[in-house]
Amino acid sequence: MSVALVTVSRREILQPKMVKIYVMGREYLVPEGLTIHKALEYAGFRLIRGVGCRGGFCGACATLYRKPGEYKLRIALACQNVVEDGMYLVVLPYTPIPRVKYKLESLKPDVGLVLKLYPEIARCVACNTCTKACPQGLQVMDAIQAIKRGDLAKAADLTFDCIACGICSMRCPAEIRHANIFHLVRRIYGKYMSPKPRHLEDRIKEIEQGKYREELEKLKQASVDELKKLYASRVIEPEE
Amino acid sequence: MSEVLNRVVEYSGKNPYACYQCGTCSAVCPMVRFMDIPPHRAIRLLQIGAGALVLSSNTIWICVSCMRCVDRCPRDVAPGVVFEALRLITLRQGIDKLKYEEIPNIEEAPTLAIVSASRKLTG
Amino acid sequence: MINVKMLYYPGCTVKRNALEYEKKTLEILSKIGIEVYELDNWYCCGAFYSLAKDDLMKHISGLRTLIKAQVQARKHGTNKLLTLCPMCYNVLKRVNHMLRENPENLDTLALFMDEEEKYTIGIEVLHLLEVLRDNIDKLKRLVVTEVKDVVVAPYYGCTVLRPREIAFDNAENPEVMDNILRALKIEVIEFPFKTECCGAYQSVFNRKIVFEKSGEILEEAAVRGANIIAVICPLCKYNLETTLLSLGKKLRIEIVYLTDLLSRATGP
Repeated sequence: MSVALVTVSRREILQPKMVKIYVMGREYLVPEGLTIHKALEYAGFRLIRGVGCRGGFCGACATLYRKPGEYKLRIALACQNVVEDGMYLVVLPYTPIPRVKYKLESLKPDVGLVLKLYPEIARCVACNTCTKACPQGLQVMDAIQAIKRGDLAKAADLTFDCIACGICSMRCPAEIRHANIFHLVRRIYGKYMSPKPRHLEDRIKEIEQGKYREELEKLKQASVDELKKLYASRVIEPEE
Repeated sequence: MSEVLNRVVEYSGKNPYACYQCGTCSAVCPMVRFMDIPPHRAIRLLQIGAGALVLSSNTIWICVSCMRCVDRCPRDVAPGVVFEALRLITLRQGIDKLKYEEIPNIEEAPTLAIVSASRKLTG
Repeated sequence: MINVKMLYYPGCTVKRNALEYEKKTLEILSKIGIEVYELDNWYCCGAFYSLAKDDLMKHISGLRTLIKAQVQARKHGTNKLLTLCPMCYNVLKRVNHMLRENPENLDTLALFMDEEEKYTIGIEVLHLLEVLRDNIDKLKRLVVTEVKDVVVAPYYGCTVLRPREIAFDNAENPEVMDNILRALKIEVIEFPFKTECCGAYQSVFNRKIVFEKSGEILEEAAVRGANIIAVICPLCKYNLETTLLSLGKKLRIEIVYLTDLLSRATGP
């Protein structure tokens, strides 16, 4: 792998180019190239809500913004996207989508069940606003339509990378609770439709039969020093 | 023109004033016996500025848009289309008529029943 | 035999609640030389055509389906889009008709579509009944057994016959289904309730209405000596059947899809 060397002058480090952003309407000057989160911190905000893993996985930092002169309402994840000059932004502290309670054991792989728990999927008009609002670039409308078609496996597949940021649900004219619905279909898929992992089932059986009980007991009795020694000398599976 | 009638004309593109009260719509309506106000009388109420009475009746929620009255109306008033406009006056205020949690055995109902009810009874 | 190709739009309910209807229908169609290609990743049509002038958004799902059909039509070399469900037929055909009458609406709708190509209004939406009607001679030749002890009341429902601009038969006294059944030597009664409303989606809003409406249809069919009501719509079937159940064992009548009867006559 070749590495491109970038020379940065001292001046650039000490005096980075600044961009103007507007946080909930108020103007701030922040250095170019920062993520929205870092820019907010630079501007003096202490992040309490609208922040989570800061790695693009948890979906806590859904952000909406517009640029002057544009009608488009754009979306971002505050931890992943960098500030742009002229951004008018708000980081959503929360999207109200309480989960419907159900017992995974009593589900079955049928659309009727999704309709019972989240009947609003019947209201989808295929406007595609959700897909346009997804920071993960998922085919959100296609997933909802796949559920309506009865193709739960496809919906589970299409939404595998959903991080439940909730932006689609905030934009949906049919008020669909997307993230929860996708969570549900993935659960149904996992429990009732995906191929059973044989090795996992075998291992669970072994555990239930007590194959590892003795070893566990030994570990529970061991002193901290012994544990450290065991840990250091453990056998690591070779990488394939 | 009353506010209700204004909206009806705007949403439906139909002219309730064209109705000459022949009563055909009520005669062919499969649902008329379940309605508080039969279709022809609903149109008459609109004409005399009493649209609010129709709005609060069950008539517009009983109609299932079978299109009988629309095909048969000699004056193209098309009560079935007018009723859609009247439904929208309520639905567009964010008031939903269908309560999903009250549907018995919703998981057993054909998907199409729920989709169509959603289209007609929720905004 | 010259094969005719058609795209096929199943719809949410055929795929979930009426798989038997689909299976029997596709068997019959293949026997009369019609090749059917199911649309990939089709969208729900919306089940009810929006009647308001200013509610174009509600036509988007129908339009997206028609565009999908247009794309896949090129691949298969046909512009025919077959539907089994009368509600799907009604919505898709009316959206098509509306766009043909008001092409300016297409421009408005296009503003909300980012990736799809422009719709050229070239898709022809067909219902199963039309296709069977046009192939009635072929159907006749397929008959292998006489369907005995069966007296059928043909029931059309509303949405293949109304409104007038999308109907393929007389809305007051349709005879398409009657003729198809008669051609296969199946006994058919005169059934004045053949276009009566079953109660439609009131089954999830005001059930009593469905029980009363469908109850009348069932009773009239029974009084006229029918032991089978032939249907083409999964919602009609559901309404008639739940009503039949609610009546207990009072009526000896069965609700059967038309193509089920056809396959009884034409053999496996």
